[in-house]
Amino acid sequence: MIERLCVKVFDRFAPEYDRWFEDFKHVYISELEALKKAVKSGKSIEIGSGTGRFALPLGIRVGVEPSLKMAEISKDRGLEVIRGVAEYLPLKSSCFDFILMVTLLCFLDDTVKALRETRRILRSGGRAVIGIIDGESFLGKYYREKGGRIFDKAEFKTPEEVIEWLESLGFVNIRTFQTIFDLPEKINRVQKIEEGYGMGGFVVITADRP
Amino acid sequence: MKRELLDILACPVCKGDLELEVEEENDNEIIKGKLYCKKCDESYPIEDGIPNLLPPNLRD
Repeated sequence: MIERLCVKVFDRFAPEYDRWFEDFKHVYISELEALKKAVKSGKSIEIGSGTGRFALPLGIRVGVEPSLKMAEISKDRGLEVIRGVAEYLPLKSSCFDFILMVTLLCFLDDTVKALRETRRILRSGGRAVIGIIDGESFLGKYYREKGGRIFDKAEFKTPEEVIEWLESLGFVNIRTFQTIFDLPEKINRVQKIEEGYGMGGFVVITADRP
Repeated sequence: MKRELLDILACPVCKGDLELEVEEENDNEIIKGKLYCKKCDESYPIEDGIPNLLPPNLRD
């Protein structure tokens, strides 16, 4: 039960997790800018909304988050938050136009189940936007070696894996964007965003429900 | 949680509708209460304005 462990870790280190976004501001902004390329208008939600650092700047007002401490921080910031997990979404079917998931897949028990749930709650024509640390990239290797309280529990995925899952679930119009081309400690300005993957440590995968 | 949120909420297990039971509410939102799934006969608490819809086996 990796997820149960993760929730405990996130409960314990929520303020520390949240501070990362201040300490690595340019990494955070680069990731936000890459996600902005994929944003879709309409009814939206973030799954694994954490402390609200991605949802709120991207105009998302509702989030699902298992950790109480993280949920409380995001609620104080103005997010309407529901405690829940991605594999058992407490949400009605065919409800959303845009679903965001950032650095979430690496903490899940069952990625395919979570993506199936994502598909269920999307309307026809709706879009899932998934941000991952590419497990094959320099950044994936760096975090694996560095470890730390939170990333010790992570099992980083690759864009190929995620794309294969999305295709097998019937998603279409799959596109990718990448950013973060250097180690976080060395980044002191906002990074460029390129289409595709293979170079950047952070990859955005966008896919539509037919 | 705001009342409108009920429009999108479902039971995490069976995805059925939830019945809202309010214990405490202010001008903005429901502070304390329950969300009940009739089909599963399961109650999900709302505490400090946050609905807890974790599946029962993952709940605290």
